[in-house]
Amino acid sequence: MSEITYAQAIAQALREEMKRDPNVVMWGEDIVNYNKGGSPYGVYRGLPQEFPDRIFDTPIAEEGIIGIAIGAAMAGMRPIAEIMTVNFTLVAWDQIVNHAAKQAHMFNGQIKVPMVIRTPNGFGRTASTHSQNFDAWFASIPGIKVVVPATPADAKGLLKSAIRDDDPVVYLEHLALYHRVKGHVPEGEHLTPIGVADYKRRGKDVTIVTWGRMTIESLKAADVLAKDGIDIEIVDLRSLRPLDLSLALESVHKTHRVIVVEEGWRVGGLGAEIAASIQELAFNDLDAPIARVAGLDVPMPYAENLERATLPFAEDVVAACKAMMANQY
Amino acid sequence: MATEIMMPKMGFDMTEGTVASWLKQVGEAVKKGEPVVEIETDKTTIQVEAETAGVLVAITVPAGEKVPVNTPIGMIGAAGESIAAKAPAPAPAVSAAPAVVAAPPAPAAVAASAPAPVAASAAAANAAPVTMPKMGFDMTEGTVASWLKQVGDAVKKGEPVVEIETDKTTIQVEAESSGKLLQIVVAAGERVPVNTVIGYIGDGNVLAGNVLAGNVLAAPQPVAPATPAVAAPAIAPQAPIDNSGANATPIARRMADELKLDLTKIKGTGPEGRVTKGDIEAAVAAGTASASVASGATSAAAANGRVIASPYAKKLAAELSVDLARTQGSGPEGRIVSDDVKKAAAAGILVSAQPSAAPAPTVAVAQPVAVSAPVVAQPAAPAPKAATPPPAGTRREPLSKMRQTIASRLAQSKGTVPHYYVATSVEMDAALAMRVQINEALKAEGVKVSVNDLVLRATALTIKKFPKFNATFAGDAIDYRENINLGVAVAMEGGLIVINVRDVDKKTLKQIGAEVPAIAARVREGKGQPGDMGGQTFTTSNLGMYGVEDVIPIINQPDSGILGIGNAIQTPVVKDGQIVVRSMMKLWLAADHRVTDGAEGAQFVAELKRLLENPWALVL
Repeated sequence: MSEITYAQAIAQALREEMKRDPNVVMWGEDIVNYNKGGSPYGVYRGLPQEFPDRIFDTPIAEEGIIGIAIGAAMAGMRPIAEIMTVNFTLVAWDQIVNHAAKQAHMFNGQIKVPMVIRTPNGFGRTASTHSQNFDAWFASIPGIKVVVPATPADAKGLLKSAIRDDDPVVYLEHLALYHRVKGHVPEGEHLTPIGVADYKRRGKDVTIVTWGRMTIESLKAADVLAKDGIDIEIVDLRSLRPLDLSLALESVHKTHRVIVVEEGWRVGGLGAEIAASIQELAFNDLDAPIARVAGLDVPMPYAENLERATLPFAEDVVAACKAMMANQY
Repeated sequence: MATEIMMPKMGFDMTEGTVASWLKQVGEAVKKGEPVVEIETDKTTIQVEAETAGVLVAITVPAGEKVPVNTPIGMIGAAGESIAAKAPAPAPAVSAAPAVVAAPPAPAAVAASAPAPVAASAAAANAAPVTMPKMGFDMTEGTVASWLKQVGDAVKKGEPVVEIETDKTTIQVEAESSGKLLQIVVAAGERVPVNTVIGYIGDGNVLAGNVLAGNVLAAPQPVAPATPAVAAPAIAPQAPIDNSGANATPIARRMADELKLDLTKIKGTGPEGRVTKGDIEAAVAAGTASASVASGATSAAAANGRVIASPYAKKLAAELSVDLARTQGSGPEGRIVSDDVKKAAAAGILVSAQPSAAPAPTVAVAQPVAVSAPVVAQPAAPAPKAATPPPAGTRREPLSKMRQTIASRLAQSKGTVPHYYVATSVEMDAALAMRVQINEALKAEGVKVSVNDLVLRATALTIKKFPKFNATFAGDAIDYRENINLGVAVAMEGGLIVINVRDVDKKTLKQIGAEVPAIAARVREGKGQPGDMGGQTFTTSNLGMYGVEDVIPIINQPDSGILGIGNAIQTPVVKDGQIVVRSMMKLWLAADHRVTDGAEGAQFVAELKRLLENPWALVL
């Protein structure tokens, strides 16, 4: 079992599922002919050539991409709509929220929309309008599922599960993970269930509840903290809808301290929802206020140093854990 | 079950109302729906109907008095029902004494008996804590080197207020907000953990309970609530408390659970009588502080008496039987976290091991004075419960409400008020002779002046000259009371009560002689009137009738002094070189050393002696 990148794990999932099921098709901007093909970021090189009649470039028309996928899904296909960045989903939110998410509900399950929206979410050195994180927004929409893999294994396992799921699934990737994060991926058929969290590190002092890129940052923080004798436990939610808090609660019963770590804006972030739920369900087990590490409440600046200043990284997780262990909150 | 009649809230902006007239007499039968009392507001007059059928068993607010909405003004119960036994008492005095009509919710009565409104809780709300800073990652505790401001000094934001010494250095801590230094919690020279509250800055009133001469007081002195609507509740419950059905706000319910208060005994001032946070704070203001003061530890009990602990710390404390009230908190603002609970458990700070709240009174010569004003007679919060079964051969009797009140109030007084004593012997022959003549003259009117009445009159005239003995210690001030109201301890079955004789300095011996037995009789029979109990500014305790010579009493807070009166006994004394027989009476003054000093006490008893030995001064 060799290590592969996050992007390679996505490519494996796409290739396996397209081979397995002829109904899996893909639409997106610049995914076939741009540069060397295989998404603008080179995630799945060669795949468009393998499946020339099932992977299509589209005009710059995200509402159309999502709309086509919804129609195809309703007609029995397993489409994947690829949106170049999460920022471009904004023009297609009516399709996502009012159509993809509602069909099964409005027609009593007689119509299913088994589609996947794949899109890189989060910062990407691309300034205010192209460098945003909307995971909390997606997670608030009933009728869709939202998954946010952090590791190559979960990237592969969650994508395969998403493609096979009968509901619309928003699959949020991250530019910062594509080619930089490597990891082991189980050989053969590997499915990660949707709606099931995972311990990425076991520890006893503080529970970190996180997902996506911040799982990777939290793992880096854990190594730094271990040198100071602080042993953190990392719960990777993996799915934001449905939200599985069972591991977080189990962990709180052990550590009695919780920090929710997210990349997106703190105000109205999913951390607020998680903190509220934990205090409802485990109030008597809290020894400290639930803390949040999150992105600054500002539009993303373009200057690299300023961009970095608005985003949470491992050092922010380290600082939050140290403060909590010192009763400084 | 007796049902209270409350001052109704008629209209959104009504805050108080006047009892215009009672339409029923005490003892009269009342039907459900029948008008019982007429209430006058700023706008209108309405009749309030009985919510239950029964008998009007008590009128607590007589016609003409104005009280806040939701104040109990009367009570309907079963015929012959004893309120002392059953009533959800508006004030502990009601249940403590057979005297029924004890609660004076009238603001005037409260003002007379309560200390100046130093309401600790209210002030604390505006106070920002000054905490022991954490300077450096490995600093766990620090020493207060010196305070750069006095309590009451104005403090500007950014101005140094206190100097802190660590193992490594000394730094000045600056004020984070402007205001006044309201309280010094940790005195210079004391070492405390980081994040411990060491003082308060704010714009409210200076808080009571400041550190004196290096003593660390963990919490402000108990101060009677400034809100007249909050009649003192009976706090110490006997049975397990179930507050789940009580009408209270969520935070009030939580505070009550934490403090083990019975919410049904606390009068709510919120909508429809809902108990609010303020009601709880007022209820505990007098009670909880004494325990932490007596324990001598800087506990996490906040200025308002609330113990701040994390939810898990509370859960763990319950599991380990740790006493949170005596546990040192290391979190922000002294919050107790689970580590603190584990340390406390290791140190044996357990609920079952709790010592009594304060030293028991040790002066055995006399049974001192105890119960008094409902406003001040608040039993200390959770009265230490007998944790162990009685030893073999012992019969255990649970404390009556009256004994609980006596126990907690006198333990608090003796434990927190620095008493000093001065005594004198008074030659009473002239006074006794004059009394015979007076009573001869008053025979036709059926009034008798007692020896005690002479002492009361002399005491009132003496107090006029020495107003410090008519005062209350108020933290960083002395509150002088305008009226001279003398409390008279009256023994009764199961304990004692203090009746209140108002404006004694303005009354003749004949008036005093008529009034004292009348009040005592009313109160004994449970027919007391507002003002009959509570509101005394100085108390007297006379045990002469038992032949006792020396009565060394304990101060009845909030008074600054109390007089113990012995028997006038024929004694051989030396006069002009001759041994003669004289009727000598011993007077012991116990006084609050925070308010007065021994020389003043000596002059006080000397003046008393002069007046009684020249008794015509008492009738001039």
